[in-house]
Amino acid sequence: MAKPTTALVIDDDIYNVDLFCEYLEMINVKVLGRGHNGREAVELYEQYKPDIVFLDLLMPDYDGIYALENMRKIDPNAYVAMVTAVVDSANKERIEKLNPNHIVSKPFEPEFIAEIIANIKVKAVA
Amino acid sequence: MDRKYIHKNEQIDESADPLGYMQRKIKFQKQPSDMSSEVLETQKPVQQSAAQASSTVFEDRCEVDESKVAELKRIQLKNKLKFIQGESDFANPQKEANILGNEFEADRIGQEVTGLLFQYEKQKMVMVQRQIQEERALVQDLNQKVEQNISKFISLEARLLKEKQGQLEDEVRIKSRALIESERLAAIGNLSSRLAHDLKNPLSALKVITELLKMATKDQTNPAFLSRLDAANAAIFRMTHQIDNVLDFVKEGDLDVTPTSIYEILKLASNKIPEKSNVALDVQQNDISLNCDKQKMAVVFSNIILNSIQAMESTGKITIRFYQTPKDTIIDFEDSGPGIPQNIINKIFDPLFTTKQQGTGLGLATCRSIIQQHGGTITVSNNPTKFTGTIPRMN
Repeated sequence: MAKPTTALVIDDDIYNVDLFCEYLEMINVKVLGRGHNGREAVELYEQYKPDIVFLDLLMPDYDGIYALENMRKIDPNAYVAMVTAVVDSANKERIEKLNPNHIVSKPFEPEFIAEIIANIKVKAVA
Repeated sequence: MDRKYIHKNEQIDESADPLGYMQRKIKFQKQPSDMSSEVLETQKPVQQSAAQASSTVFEDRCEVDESKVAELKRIQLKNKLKFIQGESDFANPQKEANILGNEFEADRIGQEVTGLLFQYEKQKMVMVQRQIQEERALVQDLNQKVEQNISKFISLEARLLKEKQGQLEDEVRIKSRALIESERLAAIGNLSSRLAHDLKNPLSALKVITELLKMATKDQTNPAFLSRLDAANAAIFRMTHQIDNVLDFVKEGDLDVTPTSIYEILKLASNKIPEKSNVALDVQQNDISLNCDKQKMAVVFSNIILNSIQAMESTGKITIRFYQTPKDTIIDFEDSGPGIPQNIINKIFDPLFTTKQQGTGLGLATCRSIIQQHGGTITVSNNPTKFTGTIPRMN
Protein backbone atom coordinates (compact mmCIF):
# COMPACT_ATOMS: atom_id res chain seq x y z
CA MET A 1 0.00 0.00 0.00
CA ALA A 2 1.23 3.45 -0.96
CA LYS A 3 2.47 5.80 1.69
CA PRO A 4 -0.37 8.14 2.74
CA THR A 5 -0.21 11.82 1.85
CA THR A 6 0.89 13.94 4.80
CA ALA A 7 -0.70 17.25 5.71
CA LEU A 8 -0.77 20.15 8.15
CA VAL A 9 -4.02 21.93 8.99
CA ILE A 10 -3.81 25.52 10.19
CA ASP A 11 -6.92 27.47 11.20
CA ASP A 12 -7.77 29.66 14.17
CA ASP A 13 -11.17 27.97 14.40
CA ILE A 14 -10.32 24.87 16.48
CA TYR A 15 -13.66 23.22 15.77
CA ASN A 16 -13.06 23.57 12.04
CA VAL A 17 -9.54 22.16 12.31
CA ASP A 18 -10.76 19.07 14.15
CA LEU A 19 -13.60 18.40 11.70
CA PHE A 20 -11.38 18.95 8.71
CA CYS A 21 -8.73 16.60 10.10
CA GLU A 22 -11.39 13.98 10.69
CA TYR A 23 -12.41 14.27 7.07
CA LEU A 24 -8.80 14.11 5.86
CA GLU A 25 -8.16 10.98 7.91
CA MET A 26 -11.22 9.42 6.27
CA ILE A 27 -9.81 10.03 2.79
CA ASN A 28 -6.54 8.51 3.89
CA VAL A 29 -4.49 11.62 4.57
CA LYS A 30 -2.09 11.54 7.51
CA VAL A 31 -2.41 14.79 9.47
CA LEU A 32 0.97 15.47 11.05
CA GLY A 33 0.09 18.62 12.92
CA ARG A 34 -2.56 21.19 13.70
CA GLY A 35 -1.90 24.88 14.23
CA HIS A 36 -3.96 27.93 15.04
CA ASN A 37 -1.89 30.84 13.78
CA GLY A 38 0.80 31.70 11.24
CA ARG A 39 3.74 31.30 13.59
CA GLU A 40 2.69 27.80 14.62
CA ALA A 41 2.25 26.96 10.95
CA VAL A 42 5.86 27.87 10.17
CA GLU A 43 7.21 25.93 13.18
CA LEU A 44 5.18 22.86 12.26
CA TYR A 45 6.28 23.07 8.66
CA GLU A 46 9.91 23.24 9.59
CA GLN A 47 9.42 20.21 11.83
CA TYR A 48 7.41 17.94 9.52
CA LYS A 49 7.88 19.06 5.88
CA PRO A 50 4.42 17.69 4.92
CA ASP A 51 3.16 17.03 1.37
CA ILE A 52 0.55 19.73 1.72
CA VAL A 53 -0.46 22.55 4.08
CA PHE A 54 -4.07 23.64 4.42
CA LEU A 55 -3.66 27.21 5.57
CA ASP A 56 -6.31 29.65 6.73
CA LEU A 57 -5.80 33.26 5.65
CA LEU A 58 -7.27 35.38 8.42
CA MET A 59 -5.82 34.45 11.81
CA PRO A 60 -4.93 36.58 14.82
CA ASP A 61 -1.33 37.85 15.27
CA TYR A 62 0.39 35.90 12.48
CA ASP A 63 -1.84 35.39 9.50
CA GLY A 64 -1.75 33.02 6.55
CA ILE A 65 0.29 35.42 4.42
CA TYR A 66 3.05 35.52 7.07
CA ALA A 67 2.98 31.71 7.23
CA LEU A 68 3.08 31.23 3.45
CA GLU A 69 5.93 33.74 3.08
CA ASN A 70 8.06 31.99 5.71
CA MET A 71 7.26 28.45 4.63
CA ARG A 72 8.40 29.35 1.12
CA LYS A 73 11.63 30.67 2.66
CA ILE A 74 12.19 27.27 4.21
CA ASP A 75 11.23 25.45 1.04
CA PRO A 76 10.43 27.33 -2.14
CA ASN A 77 8.42 24.33 -3.31
CA ALA A 78 6.21 24.17 -0.23
CA TYR A 79 2.80 22.96 -1.42
CA VAL A 80 0.13 25.17 0.10
CA ALA A 81 -3.65 25.37 -0.26
CA MET A 82 -4.94 28.66 1.04
CA VAL A 83 -8.32 28.11 2.65
CA THR A 84 -10.22 31.30 3.23
CA ALA A 85 -13.68 32.63 3.94
CA VAL A 86 -13.15 36.09 2.48
CA VAL A 87 -10.50 37.54 0.23
CA ASP A 88 -10.56 41.31 0.43
CA SER A 89 -8.94 43.43 -2.22
CA ALA A 90 -6.10 44.49 0.12
CA ASN A 91 -4.97 40.90 0.63
CA LYS A 92 -5.72 39.70 -2.87
CA GLU A 93 -2.57 41.15 -4.42
CA ARG A 94 -0.29 39.93 -1.65
CA ILE A 95 -1.70 36.44 -1.94
CA GLU A 96 -1.35 36.38 -5.71
CA LYS A 97 2.28 37.48 -5.40
CA LEU A 98 3.05 34.52 -3.12
CA ASN A 99 1.25 32.25 -5.55
CA PRO A 100 -0.22 29.49 -3.37
CA ASN A 101 -0.88 26.20 -5.17
CA HIS A 102 -4.60 26.43 -4.50
CA ILE A 103 -7.08 28.95 -3.20
CA VAL A 104 -10.09 27.28 -1.59
CA SER A 105 -13.10 29.35 -0.55
CA LYS A 106 -15.08 28.39 2.50
CA PRO A 107 -17.45 26.68 2.61
CA PHE A 108 -15.76 24.28 0.21
CA GLU A 109 -17.06 21.12 -1.35
CA PRO A 110 -15.25 18.22 0.37
CA GLU A 111 -14.86 16.61 -3.04
CA PHE A 112 -12.68 19.52 -4.09
CA ILE A 113 -10.24 18.71 -1.25
CA ALA A 114 -10.26 15.08 -2.29
CA GLU A 115 -9.32 16.16 -5.82
CA ILE A 116 -6.36 18.18 -4.57
CA ILE A 117 -5.10 15.21 -2.56
CA ALA A 118 -5.52 12.91 -5.55
CA ASN A 119 -3.39 15.28 -7.66
CA ILE A 120 -0.57 15.25 -5.12
CA LYS A 121 -0.58 11.46 -5.12
CA VAL A 122 -0.33 11.41 -8.91
CA LYS A 123 2.64 13.79 -8.73
CA ALA A 124 4.31 11.72 -6.02
CA VAL A 125 4.03 8.57 -8.12
CA ALA A 126 5.41 10.37 -11.17
CA MET B 1 -6.07 158.73 -43.94
CA ASP B 2 -6.20 155.11 -43.10
CA ARG B 3 -8.99 153.42 -45.03
CA LYS B 4 -9.98 150.10 -46.19
CA TYR B 5 -12.29 149.75 -49.12
CA ILE B 6 -14.00 147.06 -50.81
CA HIS B 7 -12.47 146.83 -54.19
CA LYS B 8 -14.83 146.19 -57.03
CA ASN B 9 -12.92 143.16 -58.05
CA GLU B 10 -12.41 141.83 -54.55
CA GLN B 11 -13.61 138.28 -54.40
CA ILE B 12 -15.96 137.47 -51.59
CA ASP B 13 -17.03 133.96 -51.14
CA GLU B 14 -20.75 134.43 -50.80
CA SER B 15 -21.49 130.86 -49.88
CA ALA B 16 -19.13 131.07 -46.88
CA ASP B 17 -20.49 134.47 -45.94
CA PRO B 18 -24.20 134.58 -46.77
CA LEU B 19 -24.91 137.70 -44.70
CA GLY B 20 -21.86 139.61 -45.96
CA TYR B 21 -20.38 139.92 -42.48
CA MET B 22 -16.90 140.08 -43.87
CA GLN B 23 -17.77 143.04 -46.11
CA ARG B 24 -19.40 144.92 -43.31
CA LYS B 25 -16.55 144.38 -40.95
CA ILE B 26 -14.12 145.86 -43.42
CA LYS B 27 -16.39 148.87 -43.83
CA PHE B 28 -16.64 149.41 -40.07
CA GLN B 29 -12.90 149.63 -39.79
CA LYS B 30 -12.79 152.78 -41.88
CA GLN B 31 -11.46 155.59 -39.73
CA PRO B 32 -11.34 159.11 -41.18
CA SER B 33 -8.28 160.94 -39.71
CA ASP B 34 -9.24 164.57 -40.35
CA MET B 35 -12.72 164.44 -38.93
CA SER B 36 -13.73 166.94 -36.28
CA SER B 37 -13.66 165.59 -32.73
CA GLU B 38 -17.37 166.27 -32.48
CA VAL B 39 -18.10 164.03 -35.37
CA LEU B 40 -15.77 161.45 -33.97
CA GLU B 41 -17.49 161.64 -30.58
CA THR B 42 -20.90 160.90 -32.05
CA GLN B 43 -19.56 158.24 -34.25
CA LYS B 44 -17.88 156.30 -31.46
CA PRO B 45 -20.89 154.71 -29.70
CA VAL B 46 -22.41 153.89 -33.08
CA GLN B 47 -19.24 152.20 -34.18
CA GLN B 48 -18.93 150.40 -30.89
CA SER B 49 -22.43 149.01 -30.94
CA ALA B 50 -22.05 148.11 -34.60
CA ALA B 51 -18.79 146.34 -33.87
CA GLN B 52 -20.42 144.60 -30.96
CA ALA B 53 -23.37 143.54 -33.03
CA SER B 54 -21.07 142.39 -35.77
CA SER B 55 -18.95 140.34 -33.44
CA THR B 56 -22.00 138.89 -31.71
CA VAL B 57 -23.56 137.92 -34.96
CA PHE B 58 -20.24 136.83 -36.31
CA GLU B 59 -19.54 134.65 -33.37
CA ASP B 60 -22.90 133.06 -33.45
CA ARG B 61 -23.66 132.22 -36.99
CA CYS B 62 -26.74 130.30 -37.54
CA GLU B 63 -29.09 129.12 -40.12
CA VAL B 64 -31.23 131.97 -41.30
CA ASP B 65 -34.46 132.33 -43.07
CA GLU B 66 -33.73 132.64 -46.82
CA SER B 67 -35.92 135.76 -47.32
CA LYS B 68 -34.22 137.63 -44.49
CA VAL B 69 -30.85 136.87 -45.93
CA ALA B 70 -31.95 138.23 -49.27
CA GLU B 71 -33.29 141.43 -47.71
CA LEU B 72 -30.12 142.03 -45.78
CA LYS B 73 -28.08 141.51 -48.89
CA ARG B 74 -30.15 144.00 -50.78
CA ILE B 75 -29.59 146.65 -48.11
CA GLN B 76 -25.88 145.98 -48.10
CA LEU B 77 -25.70 146.23 -51.83
CA LYS B 78 -27.45 149.59 -51.76
CA ASN B 79 -24.94 150.78 -49.19
CA LYS B 80 -22.07 149.59 -51.19
CA LEU B 81 -23.28 151.28 -54.32
CA LYS B 82 -23.59 154.61 -52.54
CA PHE B 83 -20.11 154.31 -51.24
CA ILE B 84 -18.60 153.35 -54.53
CA GLN B 85 -20.34 156.25 -56.32
CA GLY B 86 -18.49 158.73 -54.14
CA GLU B 87 -15.13 157.11 -54.59
CA SER B 88 -13.78 159.30 -57.42
CA ASP B 89 -14.08 162.51 -55.42
CA PHE B 90 -11.72 161.66 -52.58
CA ALA B 91 -9.42 164.62 -53.14
CA ASN B 92 -12.17 167.11 -52.38
CA PRO B 93 -12.75 167.53 -48.61
CA GLN B 94 -16.22 168.80 -49.25
CA LYS B 95 -17.02 165.71 -51.14
CA GLU B 96 -15.41 163.64 -48.46
CA ALA B 97 -17.79 165.07 -45.92
CA ASN B 98 -20.63 164.03 -48.17
CA ILE B 99 -19.17 160.62 -48.34
CA LEU B 100 -18.95 160.50 -44.57
CA GLY B 101 -22.61 161.48 -44.44
CA ASN B 102 -23.33 158.55 -46.63
CA GLU B 103 -21.31 156.41 -44.29
CA PHE B 104 -23.41 157.50 -41.30
CA GLU B 105 -26.43 156.59 -43.31
CA ALA B 106 -24.83 153.21 -43.90
CA ASP B 107 -24.14 152.82 -40.19
CA ARG B 108 -27.77 153.60 -39.38
CA ILE B 109 -28.81 150.88 -41.78
CA GLY B 110 -26.25 148.66 -40.09
CA GLN B 111 -27.94 149.37 -36.78
CA GLU B 112 -31.29 148.48 -38.25
CA VAL B 113 -29.81 145.26 -39.50
CA THR B 114 -28.37 144.61 -36.08
CA GLY B 115 -31.80 145.21 -34.53
CA LEU B 116 -33.34 142.77 -36.95
CA LEU B 117 -30.64 140.31 -36.06
CA PHE B 118 -31.35 140.76 -32.33
CA GLN B 119 -35.00 140.13 -32.97
CA TYR B 120 -34.14 137.09 -34.92
CA GLU B 121 -31.84 135.95 -32.09
CA LYS B 122 -34.68 136.44 -29.61
CA GLN B 123 -37.02 134.34 -31.70
CA LYS B 124 -34.35 131.76 -31.97
CA MET B 125 -33.86 131.80 -28.19
CA VAL B 126 -37.58 131.18 -27.70
CA MET B 127 -37.39 128.32 -30.14
CA VAL B 128 -34.34 126.91 -28.45
CA GLN B 129 -36.01 127.21 -25.05
CA ARG B 130 -39.06 125.39 -26.37
CA GLN B 131 -36.79 122.75 -27.78
CA ILE B 132 -34.99 122.45 -24.46
CA GLN B 133 -38.31 122.01 -22.70
CA GLU B 134 -39.32 119.34 -25.14
CA GLU B 135 -36.01 117.63 -24.70
CA ARG B 136 -36.32 117.89 -20.93
CA ALA B 137 -39.67 116.14 -21.14
CA LEU B 138 -38.12 113.50 -23.36
CA VAL B 139 -35.25 113.04 -20.93
CA GLN B 140 -37.69 112.70 -18.04
CA ASP B 141 -39.61 110.11 -19.97
CA LEU B 142 -36.41 108.30 -20.82
CA ASN B 143 -35.24 108.42 -17.22
CA GLN B 144 -38.49 106.88 -16.11
CA LYS B 145 -38.11 104.10 -18.62
CA VAL B 146 -34.50 103.51 -17.61
CA GLU B 147 -35.52 103.34 -13.97
CA GLN B 148 -38.26 100.88 -14.79
CA ASN B 149 -35.86 98.74 -16.79
CA ILE B 150 -33.25 98.88 -14.06
CA SER B 151 -35.73 97.77 -11.44
CA LYS B 152 -36.87 95.00 -13.77
CA PHE B 153 -33.25 94.01 -14.34
CA ILE B 154 -32.53 94.05 -10.61
CA SER B 155 -35.49 91.84 -9.82
CA LEU B 156 -34.48 89.49 -12.63
CA GLU B 157 -30.93 89.44 -11.32
CA ALA B 158 -32.21 88.66 -7.84
CA ARG B 159 -34.33 85.84 -9.19
CA LEU B 160 -31.40 84.39 -11.15
CA LEU B 161 -29.22 84.66 -8.09
CA LYS B 162 -31.80 82.81 -6.06
CA GLU B 163 -32.04 80.10 -8.69
CA LYS B 164 -28.27 79.77 -8.82
CA GLN B 165 -28.15 79.60 -5.05
CA GLY B 166 -30.82 76.90 -5.13
CA GLN B 167 -28.81 74.95 -7.68
CA LEU B 168 -25.66 75.19 -5.58
CA GLU B 169 -27.53 74.12 -2.48
CA ASP B 170 -28.93 71.14 -4.37
CA GLU B 171 -25.46 70.26 -5.57
CA VAL B 172 -24.04 70.40 -2.06
CA ARG B 173 -26.93 68.30 -0.80
CA ILE B 174 -26.40 65.69 -3.54
CA LYS B 175 -22.64 65.59 -3.04
CA SER B 176 -22.83 65.29 0.72
CA ARG B 177 -25.45 62.59 0.32
CA ALA B 178 -23.11 60.74 -2.05
CA LEU B 179 -20.27 61.13 0.44
CA ILE B 180 -22.38 59.83 3.30
CA GLU B 181 -23.52 57.01 1.04
CA SER B 182 -19.96 56.01 0.14
CA GLU B 183 -18.88 56.15 3.78
CA ARG B 184 -21.92 54.13 4.71
CA LEU B 185 -21.08 51.58 2.01
CA ALA B 186 -17.47 51.39 3.20
CA ALA B 187 -18.70 50.76 6.74
CA ILE B 188 -21.18 48.18 5.45
CA GLY B 189 -18.34 46.68 3.40
CA ASN B 190 -16.13 46.24 6.46
CA LEU B 191 -18.97 44.95 8.55
CA SER B 192 -20.22 42.49 5.95
CA SER B 193 -16.71 41.28 5.21
CA ARG B 194 -16.27 40.58 8.90
CA LEU B 195 -19.71 39.00 9.15
CA ALA B 196 -19.11 36.86 6.07
CA HIS B 197 -15.89 35.55 7.55
CA ASP B 198 -17.57 34.72 10.82
CA LEU B 199 -20.51 33.01 9.12
CA LYS B 200 -18.54 31.11 6.53
CA ASN B 201 -16.35 29.34 9.06
CA PRO B 202 -19.27 27.57 10.72
CA LEU B 203 -20.82 26.97 7.29
CA SER B 204 -17.59 25.33 6.26
CA ALA B 205 -17.80 23.15 9.33
CA LEU B 206 -21.39 22.19 8.48
CA LYS B 207 -20.34 21.28 4.98
CA VAL B 208 -17.64 18.97 6.26
CA ILE B 209 -20.06 17.49 8.80
CA THR B 210 -22.56 16.54 6.08
CA GLU B 211 -19.74 14.83 4.22
CA LEU B 212 -18.55 13.06 7.37
CA LEU B 213 -22.09 11.89 8.10
CA LYS B 214 -22.42 10.57 4.60
CA MET B 215 -19.12 8.71 4.81
CA ALA B 216 -19.91 7.32 8.24
CA THR B 217 -23.27 5.97 7.21
CA LYS B 218 -23.31 2.34 6.22
CA ASP B 219 -26.44 2.45 4.10
CA GLN B 220 -25.71 5.31 1.73
CA THR B 221 -28.62 4.44 -0.54
CA ASN B 222 -31.33 5.14 2.07
CA PRO B 223 -33.48 7.75 0.27
CA ALA B 224 -34.72 9.39 3.46
CA PHE B 225 -31.14 9.91 4.64
CA LEU B 226 -29.99 11.19 1.28
CA SER B 227 -32.81 13.69 0.91
CA ARG B 228 -32.08 15.10 4.38
CA LEU B 229 -28.44 15.40 3.50
CA ASP B 230 -29.40 17.21 0.30
CA ALA B 231 -31.68 19.52 2.25
CA ALA B 232 -28.84 20.36 4.64
CA ASN B 233 -26.50 21.05 1.72
CA ALA B 234 -29.14 23.21 0.02
CA ALA B 235 -29.54 25.23 3.21
CA ILE B 236 -25.78 25.73 3.42
CA PHE B 237 -25.71 26.80 -0.23
CA ARG B 238 -28.50 29.30 0.30
CA MET B 239 -26.76 30.90 3.24
CA THR B 240 -23.48 31.04 1.34
CA HIS B 241 -25.21 32.56 -1.67
CA GLN B 242 -26.86 35.24 0.42
CA ILE B 243 -23.60 36.16 2.08
CA ASP B 244 -21.89 36.32 -1.32
CA ASN B 245 -24.74 38.42 -2.65
CA VAL B 246 -24.30 41.03 0.05
CA LEU B 247 -20.53 40.97 -0.35
CA ASP B 248 -20.70 41.29 -4.12
CA PHE B 249 -23.08 44.20 -3.79
CA VAL B 250 -21.12 46.21 -1.25
CA LYS B 251 -17.70 45.34 -2.62
CA GLU B 252 -16.34 48.38 -4.34
CA GLY B 253 -13.29 47.64 -6.34
CA ASP B 254 -11.50 48.30 -9.54
CA LEU B 255 -12.28 46.08 -12.46
CA ASP B 256 -9.62 43.60 -13.50
CA VAL B 257 -10.48 43.66 -17.19
CA THR B 258 -9.06 40.96 -19.44
CA PRO B 259 -10.33 39.38 -22.64
CA THR B 260 -12.27 36.37 -21.41
CA SER B 261 -14.22 33.76 -23.32
CA ILE B 262 -17.89 33.59 -22.46
CA TYR B 263 -17.54 29.83 -21.90
CA GLU B 264 -15.00 30.53 -19.18
CA ILE B 265 -17.34 32.99 -17.49
CA LEU B 266 -20.15 30.42 -17.65
CA LYS B 267 -17.87 27.82 -16.08
CA LEU B 268 -17.00 30.18 -13.22
CA ALA B 269 -20.68 31.03 -12.83
CA SER B 270 -21.74 27.39 -12.68
CA ASN B 271 -19.72 26.98 -9.46
CA LYS B 272 -22.16 29.37 -7.85
CA ILE B 273 -25.25 27.52 -9.02
CA PRO B 274 -26.64 24.45 -7.20
CA GLU B 275 -26.37 21.33 -9.28
CA LYS B 276 -29.71 19.90 -8.30
CA SER B 277 -32.23 21.37 -10.71
CA ASN B 278 -34.13 20.24 -13.78
CA VAL B 279 -33.20 23.33 -15.72
CA ALA B 280 -31.37 22.79 -18.99
CA LEU B 281 -28.80 25.33 -20.11
CA ASP B 282 -28.78 25.84 -23.87
CA VAL B 283 -25.60 27.67 -24.77
CA GLN B 284 -24.75 28.46 -28.39
CA GLN B 285 -21.91 26.59 -30.07
CA ASN B 286 -19.46 29.31 -31.05
CA ASP B 287 -17.68 31.02 -28.20
CA ILE B 288 -16.69 34.70 -28.27
CA SER B 289 -14.35 36.83 -26.22
CA LEU B 290 -15.55 39.55 -23.87
CA ASN B 291 -13.46 42.33 -22.32
CA CYS B 292 -14.46 42.14 -18.68
CA ASP B 293 -13.58 41.36 -15.09
CA LYS B 294 -14.29 37.64 -15.28
CA GLN B 295 -14.95 37.10 -11.58
CA LYS B 296 -17.46 39.93 -11.51
CA MET B 297 -19.04 38.90 -14.80
CA ALA B 298 -19.40 35.38 -13.40
CA VAL B 299 -21.41 36.92 -10.55
CA VAL B 300 -23.68 38.58 -13.15
CA PHE B 301 -24.17 35.34 -15.09
CA SER B 302 -24.81 33.24 -11.99
CA ASN B 303 -27.29 35.74 -10.57
CA ILE B 304 -29.29 35.92 -13.78
CA ILE B 305 -29.26 32.16 -14.23
CA LEU B 306 -30.21 31.58 -10.59
CA ASN B 307 -33.01 34.12 -10.88
CA SER B 308 -34.37 32.20 -13.87
CA ILE B 309 -34.07 28.82 -12.14
CA GLN B 310 -36.01 30.19 -9.18
CA ALA B 311 -38.65 31.80 -11.42
CA MET B 312 -39.17 28.50 -13.27
CA GLU B 313 -39.32 26.61 -9.96
CA SER B 314 -36.36 24.53 -11.06
CA THR B 315 -37.96 23.13 -14.20
CA GLY B 316 -37.47 24.54 -17.68
CA LYS B 317 -34.83 25.78 -20.05
CA ILE B 318 -32.46 28.74 -20.19
CA THR B 319 -31.18 29.75 -23.60
CA ILE B 320 -27.99 31.79 -23.69
CA ARG B 321 -27.04 33.62 -26.89
CA PHE B 322 -24.31 36.16 -27.51
CA TYR B 323 -23.07 38.18 -30.44
CA GLN B 324 -21.10 41.27 -31.26
CA THR B 325 -22.05 44.51 -32.93
CA PRO B 326 -19.30 46.93 -34.04
CA LYS B 327 -19.54 48.64 -30.65
CA ASP B 328 -20.92 46.16 -28.15
CA THR B 329 -21.08 42.57 -27.04
CA ILE B 330 -24.67 41.53 -26.43
CA ILE B 331 -25.64 38.60 -24.25
CA ASP B 332 -29.23 37.31 -24.04
CA PHE B 333 -30.52 35.06 -21.27
CA GLU B 334 -33.94 33.73 -22.20
CA ASP B 335 -35.96 31.43 -19.97
CA SER B 336 -39.15 29.40 -20.33
CA GLY B 337 -40.54 30.73 -17.07
CA PRO B 338 -43.83 32.51 -16.46
CA GLY B 339 -42.35 35.98 -16.99
CA ILE B 340 -42.16 38.99 -14.71
CA PRO B 341 -45.40 40.64 -13.54
CA GLN B 342 -45.74 43.92 -15.43
CA ASN B 343 -46.25 45.96 -12.24
CA ILE B 344 -42.83 45.04 -10.86
CA ILE B 345 -40.77 44.85 -14.04
CA ASN B 346 -39.42 48.36 -13.51
CA LYS B 347 -38.29 47.60 -9.98
CA ILE B 348 -36.47 44.31 -10.36
CA PHE B 349 -33.03 45.93 -10.60
CA ASP B 350 -33.61 48.09 -7.52
CA PRO B 351 -31.53 47.14 -4.48
CA LEU B 352 -33.46 45.34 -1.74
CA PHE B 353 -36.43 44.69 -4.02
CA THR B 354 -37.37 41.03 -3.80
CA THR B 355 -40.40 38.82 -4.30
CA LYS B 356 -38.74 35.78 -2.79
CA GLN B 357 -38.76 34.85 0.85
CA GLN B 358 -35.16 33.74 0.69
CA GLY B 359 -34.02 36.57 -1.56
CA THR B 360 -31.73 39.39 -0.49
CA GLY B 361 -33.02 41.75 -3.18
CA LEU B 362 -29.42 42.29 -4.16
CA GLY B 363 -28.88 39.72 -6.92
CA LEU B 364 -30.15 41.69 -9.91
CA ALA B 365 -29.10 45.00 -8.35
CA THR B 366 -25.57 43.61 -8.26
CA CYS B 367 -25.87 42.53 -11.91
CA ARG B 368 -26.83 46.04 -12.93
CA SER B 369 -24.11 47.62 -10.81
CA ILE B 370 -21.38 45.36 -12.24
CA ILE B 371 -22.55 45.82 -15.85
CA GLN B 372 -22.69 49.58 -15.32
CA GLN B 373 -19.14 49.45 -13.97
CA HIS B 374 -18.22 47.91 -17.33
CA GLY B 375 -19.91 50.85 -19.06
CA GLY B 376 -22.82 48.69 -20.21
CA THR B 377 -26.52 48.30 -19.63
CA ILE B 378 -28.89 45.53 -18.66
CA THR B 379 -32.54 45.36 -19.65
CA VAL B 380 -35.37 42.90 -19.22
CA SER B 381 -38.42 42.10 -21.33
CA ASN B 382 -41.30 39.65 -21.17
CA ASN B 383 -42.68 37.05 -23.62
CA PRO B 384 -40.32 35.32 -23.51
CA THR B 385 -38.58 36.46 -20.35
CA LYS B 386 -35.28 37.80 -21.55
CA PHE B 387 -32.41 39.59 -19.82
CA THR B 388 -30.11 41.42 -22.21
CA GLY B 389 -26.68 42.63 -21.19
CA THR B 390 -24.94 45.11 -23.50
CA ILE B 391 -21.25 45.62 -22.80
CA PRO B 392 -19.04 47.93 -24.87
CA ARG B 393 -16.21 46.10 -26.64
CA MET B 394 -13.70 48.86 -25.92
CA ASN B 395 -13.45 49.66 -22.23
